[in-house]
Amino acid sequence: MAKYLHDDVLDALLLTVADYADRLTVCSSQPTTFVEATSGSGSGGYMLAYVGLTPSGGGPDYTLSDSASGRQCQVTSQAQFSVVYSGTATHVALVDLSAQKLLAVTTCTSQALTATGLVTTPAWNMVVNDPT
Amino acid sequence: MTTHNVTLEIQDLVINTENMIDLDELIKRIQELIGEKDGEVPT
Repeated sequence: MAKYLHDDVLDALLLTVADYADRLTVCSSQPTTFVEATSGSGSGGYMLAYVGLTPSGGGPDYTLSDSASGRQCQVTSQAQFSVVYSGTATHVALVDLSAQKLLAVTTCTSQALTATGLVTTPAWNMVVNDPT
Repeated sequence: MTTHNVTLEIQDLVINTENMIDLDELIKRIQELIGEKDGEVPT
Protein backbone atom coordinates (compact mmCIF):
# COMPACT_ATOMS: atom_id res chain seq x y z
CA MET A 1 0.00 0.00 0.00
CA ALA A 2 1.47 3.32 -1.07
CA LYS A 3 1.87 5.98 1.55
CA TYR A 4 2.02 9.70 1.03
CA LEU A 5 2.44 12.90 2.95
CA HIS A 6 2.37 16.31 1.27
CA ASP A 7 5.49 18.42 1.71
CA ASP A 8 3.38 20.85 3.75
CA VAL A 9 2.85 18.10 6.31
CA LEU A 10 6.57 17.45 6.57
CA ASP A 11 7.21 21.20 6.73
CA ALA A 12 4.71 21.53 9.56
CA LEU A 13 6.91 19.30 11.67
CA LEU A 14 10.06 21.21 10.76
CA LEU A 15 8.40 24.59 11.28
CA THR A 16 7.34 23.59 14.76
CA VAL A 17 11.03 23.82 15.51
CA ALA A 18 12.04 26.58 13.09
CA ASP A 19 9.23 28.92 14.15
CA TYR A 20 9.90 28.64 17.86
CA ALA A 21 13.42 27.50 18.69
CA ASP A 22 15.24 30.68 19.68
CA ARG A 23 18.26 29.21 21.43
CA LEU A 24 20.81 26.56 20.51
CA THR A 25 22.65 24.95 23.40
CA VAL A 26 25.69 22.70 23.40
CA CYS A 27 25.40 19.98 26.04
CA SER A 28 27.65 17.45 27.75
CA SER A 29 24.98 14.73 27.80
CA GLN A 30 21.62 14.12 26.17
CA PRO A 31 19.14 16.61 27.62
CA THR A 32 15.65 15.22 28.07
CA THR A 33 14.08 18.35 29.53
CA PHE A 34 14.22 22.10 28.96
CA VAL A 35 16.04 22.59 32.26
CA GLU A 36 18.68 20.01 31.38
CA ALA A 37 19.26 21.69 28.02
CA THR A 38 19.53 25.21 29.38
CA SER A 39 21.20 24.86 32.80
CA GLY A 40 24.78 24.22 33.80
CA SER A 41 25.93 21.24 35.80
CA GLY A 42 25.53 23.20 39.04
CA SER A 43 21.82 23.55 38.35
CA GLY A 44 21.00 20.05 37.23
CA GLY A 45 21.70 20.56 33.55
CA TYR A 46 24.17 19.72 30.82
CA MET A 47 24.53 23.06 29.05
CA LEU A 48 28.09 24.12 28.20
CA ALA A 49 27.44 26.94 25.75
CA TYR A 50 24.50 28.68 24.11
CA VAL A 51 23.69 31.08 21.32
CA GLY A 52 20.50 32.87 20.37
CA LEU A 53 18.69 32.01 17.14
CA THR A 54 16.14 34.02 15.20
CA PRO A 55 13.12 31.85 14.38
CA SER A 56 9.89 33.49 13.10
CA GLY A 57 8.67 31.90 9.91
CA GLY A 58 11.67 29.73 9.28
CA GLY A 59 14.28 32.43 8.99
CA PRO A 60 16.93 33.72 9.02
CA ASP A 61 18.63 31.03 11.08
CA TYR A 62 16.56 28.29 9.46
CA THR A 63 16.23 27.36 5.80
CA LEU A 64 13.68 24.84 4.56
CA SER A 65 14.28 23.00 1.31
CA ASP A 66 13.81 19.70 -0.49
CA SER A 67 16.11 16.90 0.57
CA ALA A 68 16.99 13.74 -1.32
CA SER A 69 14.04 11.91 0.19
CA GLY A 70 11.77 14.46 1.80
CA ARG A 71 12.20 17.88 3.33
CA GLN A 72 14.92 19.39 5.42
CA CYS A 73 15.55 22.41 7.59
CA GLN A 74 19.08 23.71 7.80
CA VAL A 75 20.16 25.39 11.00
CA THR A 76 22.59 28.14 10.10
CA SER A 77 26.20 28.02 11.25
CA GLN A 78 26.80 29.89 14.51
CA ALA A 79 30.29 31.29 14.76
CA GLN A 80 32.42 31.68 17.85
CA PHE A 81 30.03 31.97 20.75
CA SER A 82 31.23 31.74 24.33
CA VAL A 83 31.71 28.55 26.27
CA VAL A 84 30.14 29.04 29.70
CA TYR A 85 31.15 25.80 31.40
CA SER A 86 34.03 23.43 30.68
CA GLY A 87 33.11 19.91 29.63
CA THR A 88 32.86 17.54 26.71
CA ALA A 89 30.24 18.44 24.14
CA THR A 90 28.18 15.46 22.94
CA HIS A 91 24.77 16.90 22.07
CA VAL A 92 23.22 20.00 20.55
CA ALA A 93 19.72 21.11 21.51
CA LEU A 94 17.17 23.60 20.23
CA VAL A 95 14.83 25.15 22.77
CA ASP A 96 11.94 27.59 22.93
CA LEU A 97 12.84 29.97 25.73
CA SER A 98 9.48 31.63 26.25
CA ALA A 99 7.52 28.38 26.31
CA GLN A 100 10.38 26.59 28.09
CA LYS A 101 10.24 23.67 25.68
CA LEU A 102 13.01 21.35 24.58
CA LEU A 103 12.20 21.00 20.88
CA ALA A 104 15.02 19.02 19.29
CA VAL A 105 18.26 17.26 20.20
CA THR A 106 20.96 15.84 17.99
CA THR A 107 24.43 14.50 18.58
CA CYS A 108 27.87 15.85 17.87
CA THR A 109 31.28 14.26 17.83
CA SER A 110 32.72 14.44 21.35
CA GLN A 111 34.71 17.60 21.74
CA ALA A 112 36.29 19.10 24.85
CA LEU A 113 35.24 22.69 25.52
CA THR A 114 36.96 25.09 27.89
CA ALA A 115 35.14 27.81 29.78
CA THR A 116 35.92 31.29 28.43
CA GLY A 117 36.79 29.69 25.10
CA LEU A 118 34.76 29.93 21.93
CA VAL A 119 32.80 27.33 20.02
CA THR A 120 31.46 27.28 16.48
CA THR A 121 28.59 25.12 15.30
CA PRO A 122 28.58 24.48 11.56
CA ALA A 123 25.33 24.33 9.61
CA TRP A 124 23.39 21.12 10.19
CA ASN A 125 20.08 19.69 9.06
CA MET A 126 16.87 18.33 10.44
CA VAL A 127 15.57 15.94 7.80
CA VAL A 128 12.08 14.49 7.51
CA ASN A 129 11.95 11.63 5.07
CA ASP A 130 8.95 10.83 2.90
CA PRO A 131 6.94 7.81 4.07
CA THR A 132 7.65 4.67 2.08
CA MET B 1 46.45 33.79 27.37
CA THR B 2 45.32 31.38 24.70
CA THR B 3 41.62 31.42 23.81
CA HIS B 4 40.36 27.99 22.89
CA ASN B 5 38.28 28.08 19.76
CA VAL B 6 36.78 24.83 18.59
CA THR B 7 34.32 23.83 15.89
CA LEU B 8 31.87 21.04 16.56
CA GLU B 9 30.94 18.31 14.13
CA ILE B 10 27.15 17.93 14.34
CA GLN B 11 25.21 14.96 13.05
CA ASP B 12 21.98 15.67 11.18
CA LEU B 13 18.71 14.92 12.95
CA VAL B 14 16.88 12.50 10.65
CA ILE B 15 13.21 11.71 11.13
CA ASN B 16 11.65 8.77 9.33
CA THR B 17 7.93 9.20 8.96
CA GLU B 18 7.64 5.47 8.37
CA ASN B 19 8.29 5.07 12.06
CA MET B 20 5.82 7.75 12.99
CA ILE B 21 2.86 6.98 10.78
CA ASP B 22 2.14 3.35 9.99
CA LEU B 23 -1.04 3.61 7.97
CA ASP B 24 -1.43 -0.16 7.68
CA GLU B 25 -1.28 -0.47 11.46
CA LEU B 26 -3.65 2.44 11.87
CA ILE B 27 -6.22 0.87 9.53
CA LYS B 28 -5.83 -2.45 11.33
CA ARG B 29 -6.48 -0.79 14.68
CA ILE B 30 -9.54 1.01 13.35
CA GLN B 31 -10.89 -2.24 11.93
CA GLU B 32 -10.39 -3.88 15.30
CA LEU B 33 -12.17 -1.05 17.05
CA ILE B 34 -15.24 -1.25 14.81
CA GLY B 35 -15.22 -5.03 14.70
CA GLU B 36 -14.52 -5.35 11.00
CA LYS B 37 -12.58 -8.35 9.72
CA ASP B 38 -11.22 -8.87 6.23
CA GLY B 39 -13.59 -6.49 4.55
CA GLU B 40 -16.65 -7.76 6.36
CA VAL B 41 -19.12 -4.95 6.80
CA PRO B 42 -19.92 -4.42 10.47
CA THR B 43 -23.53 -4.67 11.44
